[in-house]
Amino acid sequence: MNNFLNKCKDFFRPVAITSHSILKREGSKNLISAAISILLGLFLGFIVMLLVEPSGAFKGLGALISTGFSNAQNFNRVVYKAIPMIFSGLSIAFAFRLNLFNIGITGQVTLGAFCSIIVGLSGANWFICLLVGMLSGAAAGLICGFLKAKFGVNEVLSGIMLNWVIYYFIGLCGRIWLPNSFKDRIETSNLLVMPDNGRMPSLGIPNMGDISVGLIIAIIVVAVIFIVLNYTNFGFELKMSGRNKDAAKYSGVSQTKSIILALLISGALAGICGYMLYSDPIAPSKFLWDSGSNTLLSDGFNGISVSLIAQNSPIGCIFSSIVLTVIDSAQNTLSTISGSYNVHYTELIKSVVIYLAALSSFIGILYRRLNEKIDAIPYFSRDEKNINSKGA
Amino acid sequence: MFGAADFGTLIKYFIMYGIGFILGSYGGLFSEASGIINIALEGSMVFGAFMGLIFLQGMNSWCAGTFLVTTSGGLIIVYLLGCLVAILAGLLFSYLLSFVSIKLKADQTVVGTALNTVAVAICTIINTQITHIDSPETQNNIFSSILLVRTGNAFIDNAFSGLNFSVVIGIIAIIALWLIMNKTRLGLRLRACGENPAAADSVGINVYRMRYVGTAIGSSAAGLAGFIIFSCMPIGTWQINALGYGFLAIAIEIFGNWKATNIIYCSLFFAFFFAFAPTFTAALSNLGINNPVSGTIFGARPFYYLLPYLLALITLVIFSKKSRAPKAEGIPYNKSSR
Repeated sequence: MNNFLNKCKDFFRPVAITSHSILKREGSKNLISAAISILLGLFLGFIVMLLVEPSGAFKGLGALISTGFSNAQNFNRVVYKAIPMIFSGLSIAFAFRLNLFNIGITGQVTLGAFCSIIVGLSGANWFICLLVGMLSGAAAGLICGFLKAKFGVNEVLSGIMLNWVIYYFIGLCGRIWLPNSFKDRIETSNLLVMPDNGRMPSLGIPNMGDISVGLIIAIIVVAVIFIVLNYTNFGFELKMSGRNKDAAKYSGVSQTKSIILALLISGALAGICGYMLYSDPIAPSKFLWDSGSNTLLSDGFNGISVSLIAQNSPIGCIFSSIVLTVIDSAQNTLSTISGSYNVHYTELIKSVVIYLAALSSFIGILYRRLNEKIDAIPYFSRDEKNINSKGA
Repeated sequence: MFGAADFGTLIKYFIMYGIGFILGSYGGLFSEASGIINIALEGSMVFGAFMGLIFLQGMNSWCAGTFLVTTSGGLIIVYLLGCLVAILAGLLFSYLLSFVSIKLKADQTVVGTALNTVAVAICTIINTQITHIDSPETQNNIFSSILLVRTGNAFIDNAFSGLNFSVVIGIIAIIALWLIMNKTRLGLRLRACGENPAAADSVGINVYRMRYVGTAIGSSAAGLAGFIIFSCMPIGTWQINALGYGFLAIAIEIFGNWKATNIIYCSLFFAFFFAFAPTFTAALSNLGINNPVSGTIFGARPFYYLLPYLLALITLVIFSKKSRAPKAEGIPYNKSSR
């Protein structure tokens, strides 16, 4: 019997060693801390629901997790809301590689959306609109990058300023230069709608008409960004400049070029996000060019959350944006379960998740300690001596 | 065209925004001087303003008919307490940021960004629990009918009705904070912790405690700023939202080059445009058909809001070489790495 147990141990040893070495990697640490923050966020939401209205708490928790996947229509909504968020998350994650906080993303998203809708209203097809959105976002990013690289203006400051400059500039355009034929007459005239010719073509999956060519573009872009960041000279230069600016400079990496390119690409991704937000194939949202209450679009800031939960990993952005939209999609279901659960519970849970995601460095320290303890167990070690003694 | 009444309104907004922006950016200054980046200013403003306004609302319903709501002396007490509540709310809120960024060494930008949404979510949930209205609104015009100034002089009437006693407390707070930052040992220690925490530690300053204090003062100032701005707002209801003033405060603080005196000038610059834009365009539209700039960019309200941001950006480009942030800003201090 004892012999059999030992044989089992020997048999599973390679599996244990490989799984342990996989878990030791940076990526799995990030994944685990993200998972912990999401679970804790949901748990806290559950506690709040328990305090407010105990009878519906379990139902509410179930709704939070499952609403997004409950039927084709809900899943459809999750996917089409997640796609622009993937792009905004990528945008933030890309700039974070260089330790740049692209808070100007809101302005870049807004400008991308506005310019692409204007081009769409002038009769261009969807691809041209996408390009225009991307380029206008990139232009806004370029301004931030140029100011940072050439004049040393803090990118957070120029980003905040540019957000408002773009916001009011669009308001000004709408009031003075925009032809009346462009404005949406069905409701109030401060709305713009992307016409049919500019919307993304639907992939035509039954019951999921909102899933468009945007999904394919998102997957391609994530793959490209992943490869650029991890397997190219440029990506390595960015990473090096982000980790240690002086060492990068010493080895001949141009800081000016890295900063400008990082913010340019970040802006381009934000511009794509702006286009996709307003060009859904079936029922696109309407673009408000003058809200009258001086509030910026929140979609850019959502990108910050997406990127934070994903620990700035491009592939992680896909999953974190899906998690956030799944939580979001439960808004209406929650309010049907109990009158005292309102739409802000999902906001609370989302923000708690982001807050906890910021603790990843703390979780990382705990995780490393745990790994060191496991390393000390001889069973998991790849030591030559152990293997020899086993063989003998 | 720009009469005494319009000028009075301009002064009122100027006072309101000026004090709010100075206090808000002092909030950023105190925490960044000690080495903690406070992106959560927006959240602190929302939290402080919400708690203060909810307190006013409570006083209005519980103490109806007592001397507190009927006499002007009582009102001063109520607003004084409201300010205290806002400051305490900011203080409590600051621990959400400082604990995780000092003790757990979390990324400060990330925590701040998350806290901005946390604040709005908490406030809306509390609001629906108290008021039982599903929409995220809270009244802020509770005492405004009592505070209307009627002297017959259009300038004075417009300049001072709608403002409340919190403005006076705001001015006192600004003077106190300026003195703390520039003239006291505490201010010097705070700045030392942001500049070179290891050196500060070596002469016996508790870096962690200084950072807690810096963030606490900062968030309380921002909470008071939020309360002042949103309790003086002429709108009847307040969507729980700081309208980006927290981010503007961060921008002003960087624009003012992390110096307490410069920040005052920069805040007044923005406050002037924020006061000028609505009053000037309202005066223009009152002209009706005689409006000389109707239909051009000079007649449109967004132009006057856009102007300060554009001017600030240009100024930054011109003076950029002199700009310098506290050196240890955003880096968690680790005693063992000294």
